[in-house]
Amino acid sequence: MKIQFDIDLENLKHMVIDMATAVEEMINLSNRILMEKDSSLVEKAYQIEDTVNHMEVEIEQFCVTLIARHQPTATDLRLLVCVIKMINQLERLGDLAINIAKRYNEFMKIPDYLLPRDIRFLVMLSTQMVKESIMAFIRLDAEKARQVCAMDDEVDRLNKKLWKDFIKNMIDSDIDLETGFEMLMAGKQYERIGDCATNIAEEVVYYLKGQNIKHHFAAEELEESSSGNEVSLPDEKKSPGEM
Amino acid sequence: MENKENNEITLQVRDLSAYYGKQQVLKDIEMDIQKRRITAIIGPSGCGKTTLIRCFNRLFETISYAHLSGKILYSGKDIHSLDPTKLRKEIGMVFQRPNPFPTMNIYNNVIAGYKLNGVRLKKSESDQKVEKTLKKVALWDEVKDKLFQSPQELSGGQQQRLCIARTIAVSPRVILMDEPCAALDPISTSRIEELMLALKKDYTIIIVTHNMQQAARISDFTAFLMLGELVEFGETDQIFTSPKKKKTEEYITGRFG
Repeated sequence: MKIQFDIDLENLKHMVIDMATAVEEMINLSNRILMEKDSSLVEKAYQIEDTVNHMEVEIEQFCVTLIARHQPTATDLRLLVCVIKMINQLERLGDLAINIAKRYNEFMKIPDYLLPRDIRFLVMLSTQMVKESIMAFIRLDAEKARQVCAMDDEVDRLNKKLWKDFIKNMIDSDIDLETGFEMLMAGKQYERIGDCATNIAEEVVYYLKGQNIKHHFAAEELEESSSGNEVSLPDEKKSPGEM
Repeated sequence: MENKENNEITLQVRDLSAYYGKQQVLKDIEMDIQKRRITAIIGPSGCGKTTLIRCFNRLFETISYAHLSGKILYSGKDIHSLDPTKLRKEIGMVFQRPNPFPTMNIYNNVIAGYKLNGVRLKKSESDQKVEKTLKKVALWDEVKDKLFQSPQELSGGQQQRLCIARTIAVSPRVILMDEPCAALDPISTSRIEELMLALKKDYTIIIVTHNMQQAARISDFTAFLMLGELVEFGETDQIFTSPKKKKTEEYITGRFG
């Protein structure tokens, strides 16, 4: 029976990886829609969203079945908790990608030369965070997951800078209010993508180490809940934004 | 292991080793049993679980070739400095197979602890004690009309609750339970578990169990033994979600044992 459970857990991991791959594709499509103004990609993004939503339901149901059948403990239990939370974040990432994709008509109005460097960095950084958080899960790499959490501060900083620069340049530059607003909204979506990636990374750390590193005050609790392995304290991070 | 204030610790085990002749069955056990909590002892067959709890009430030493080293302190006093009969009144025991005394009726089984020690109770006192104790183990309604019948007519679960009643009738402070549900069906097991959760308000309970889900369900602390050694001891929530030792993880996830 235990051998079957191990097979089931491997299958579960593969299902999560498949869902993560689909979500990464959605984010890449949205990035290209924003940067390259390629309208042909919008329909494809919507198609993948359907698949991602179905996958979330299927994986969640599988997790519930495994819990009912096997009453898992320790690492097995933490894996299932991690997966249930991860797929929720992956589904939200899909929603955020669609939020970006469906504003294609508005993005068309932003000339390339007006697309600030900060937005490009924001896109690149938050996309990288998603990729790295999923790799941390696949490779069972808690250190990589912690590094993702640390990157969120830079994403937040870039997004704030975007807002400050927009307000500062509103009068001086030839960016009209509507165009500027669209850029800020795009920035906000990517900031939220960074938050989702951070949430995934936190769940991976919980799965691998049994440590809850959500919210800055969890750092003090690390000593008590330590699994016995030496770990470094996480960087302070803010609560994830509204999704 | 975190050690809370001393007045919350009922039993302290210090450097305890136990031997059957030359064979060592417990090795350097150190643990504190907290008052009015349920502590589960888990581990593969032959790891020393039953031997350990039999040390607490000095039943272990009734085997002629058994001996131990180290100390067990009960409320701060070495149990080997205490009268064993008095100690066993304070540290009662419930066994795996229900064992009501077959020559006594249900009523006398409850107050057997007094009878066998030559303590005479007035009828009103014993009536009160029997009713109160049987209510405490949720057996009163089921047997109140047949108190003077043989306990052999009761179901396995009822007999086990009667044995628990017999144990608590003499007002112990600690109850040792050696796989108390092993011979019972799931519904009876569930009732005994509910009873244990209710009893822990008044008693310190130590339970040996092969059923890890049972340990996870009802205990506050869990001790994992393997080959006579205490591998890990901690709060049950922590043991079952994030065990510190690899051997503990392997055992509770069923990857060995």
